[in-house]
Amino acid sequence: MKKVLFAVLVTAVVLFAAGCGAKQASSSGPTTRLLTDATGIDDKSFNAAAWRGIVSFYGDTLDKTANRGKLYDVVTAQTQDMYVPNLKQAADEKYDLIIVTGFTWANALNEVAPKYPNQKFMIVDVDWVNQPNVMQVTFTEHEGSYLVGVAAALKAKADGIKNPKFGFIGGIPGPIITKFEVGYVQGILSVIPGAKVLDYYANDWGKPELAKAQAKNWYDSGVYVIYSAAGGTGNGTIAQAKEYRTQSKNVWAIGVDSDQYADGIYAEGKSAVLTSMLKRVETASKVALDAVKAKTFKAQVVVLDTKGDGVGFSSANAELGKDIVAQVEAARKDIIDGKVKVLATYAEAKAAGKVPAGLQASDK
Amino acid sequence: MNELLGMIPSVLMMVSPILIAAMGGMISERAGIVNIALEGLMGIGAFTAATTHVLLGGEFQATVWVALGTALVAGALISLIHAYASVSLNADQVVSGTGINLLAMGSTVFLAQIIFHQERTEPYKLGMLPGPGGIYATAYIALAVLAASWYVLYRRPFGLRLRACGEHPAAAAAAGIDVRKVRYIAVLVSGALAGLAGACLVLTQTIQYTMYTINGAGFIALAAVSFGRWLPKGVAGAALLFGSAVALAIYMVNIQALRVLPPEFFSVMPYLITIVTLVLFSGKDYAPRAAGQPFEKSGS
Repeated sequence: MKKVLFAVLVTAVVLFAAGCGAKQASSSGPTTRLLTDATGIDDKSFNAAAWRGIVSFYGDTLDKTANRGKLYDVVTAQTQDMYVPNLKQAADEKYDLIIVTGFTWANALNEVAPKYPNQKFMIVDVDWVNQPNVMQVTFTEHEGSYLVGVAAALKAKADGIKNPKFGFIGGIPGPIITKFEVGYVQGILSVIPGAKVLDYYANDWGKPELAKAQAKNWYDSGVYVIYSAAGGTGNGTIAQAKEYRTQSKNVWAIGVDSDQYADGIYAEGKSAVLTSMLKRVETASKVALDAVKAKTFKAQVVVLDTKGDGVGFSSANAELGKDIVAQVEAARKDIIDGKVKVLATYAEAKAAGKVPAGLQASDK
Repeated sequence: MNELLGMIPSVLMMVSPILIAAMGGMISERAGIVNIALEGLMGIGAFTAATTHVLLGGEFQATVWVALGTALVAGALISLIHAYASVSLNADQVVSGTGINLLAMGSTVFLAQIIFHQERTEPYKLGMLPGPGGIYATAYIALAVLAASWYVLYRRPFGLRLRACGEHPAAAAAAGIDVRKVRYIAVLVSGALAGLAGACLVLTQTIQYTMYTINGAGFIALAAVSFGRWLPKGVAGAALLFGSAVALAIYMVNIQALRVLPPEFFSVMPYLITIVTLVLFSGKDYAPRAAGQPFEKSGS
């Protein structure tokens, strides 16, 4: 009897404590949980940026996350079969907003969201989860890629490269990576009409050796700049560019998603990464949290474009030069003002004569 | 044609780590211990090498060689677990190997968190730089490992004893060979070579260690062992074939006339070539007879 009583008592205390914890959390501003895929918040890309956005929303810094555990936290799903349980658990704990990144979460979210009609969700990079409680945020990666294409072509011109060639290395073909490729090609051709662009898809996000071998092959055959939108595979391009720049060959790599300037450093103050296409996923976190705070959260597709500071380019590399930065800034302004319209699909861009036929970009 | 010749350094860059790891796997299996942990041991080696190189500045060629050395030691140390489990405890070799693969994945990321406060090592400024002809020193290391493996296995008494332990350990024991000791040595050598292979891979192919750096290279090495019929020349041939097929696929993408094929075709091609060759050359079972079987001394 005593044992039973003790057990009941302990259960009551635990439940009470848990209840207090939850209440405390929701009393001071919106609470949020970030759910990531296996790469976690140190992927230097997506998840890292989403996390940065959350942390800065609460006035914290990455080194000092004072409100972590009180107002916001993060759970990493080691495998894809944890997506649904993680979503349900977060919803059961009644966070004001649950953020997930990347299209791999779309199916799980589609399954869980209808079961928790009062729970607010936000998903990045997806616009086909049409649930009444899900905000979807996408980016105009083609515009950001256009800008780095312009930068690459201007640099080739400034360096007096004769008939410069340009390369693009993609991960797994699909409509999202196509935006990167066709945007980049449109940017190059807007500066050097008729320039030759080569492309290659590694069909893998984690095989740098393939990108490195292709980059060597291309650089040897006169390619001046290679832009990789291929996740970890793109590290191979940067590795090859570093090696060749050390040997005084004038070739460049272009980074993607976050500023990869530091990844390209091969000597003091010298980086093989000419510029990077910046996709500011942190803006997505901020937009969603602002909406929850202001009680204006809606189930809508938010498109973060050049104008909304969703995409851009990096001017971290001093060798890009002030002139070129100014000209790319001008191109950026043209996009914002609507003077230049960058097309997002290969079919459209090809039909408009803005990109050549024969690329491996796929709209499907 | 020049472009094809230009691919040779890339082929060697990709083949060298696979060949080095496969030699280790072969030695271990010839002694009777299947080392399915090559993948994980390569990860340990790659992580150790990248970390050593970064912490020593990440830009000098001298520290690249220090990194290769530490990776070799780290691989040997971790393979001690496999040796203890499968030789001393007579545990199932596949289970113990799988355990190391999982351990390697988790522990390298965990250590990266502690050392670099992120789930990967920091990028180093420069990895191993290629020598004349764009060829990395890893190719010469692979060649040396190949020659040494052949020499020890077929030209030294120890090699004969090692092979006996893999074919008929009871007979070897009856002839006075310390089977457990030989198997311990074989597993440690395979661990050291796998660690070295991981280091060669990370220092020539990319800019940092991440969870995805090895990405199956260890399993390809394992396949190369059986594909090469547990013989040094066969294993070397298998690794070269696979590496050349990968490079050929990368090269072929640039030929406009072949662009009608879907990009997936080029990714599948190396595996297709390997499987077809495997079928063409398959024959009787060449595996060491006692590979995978624990050896228990009878009587005592």
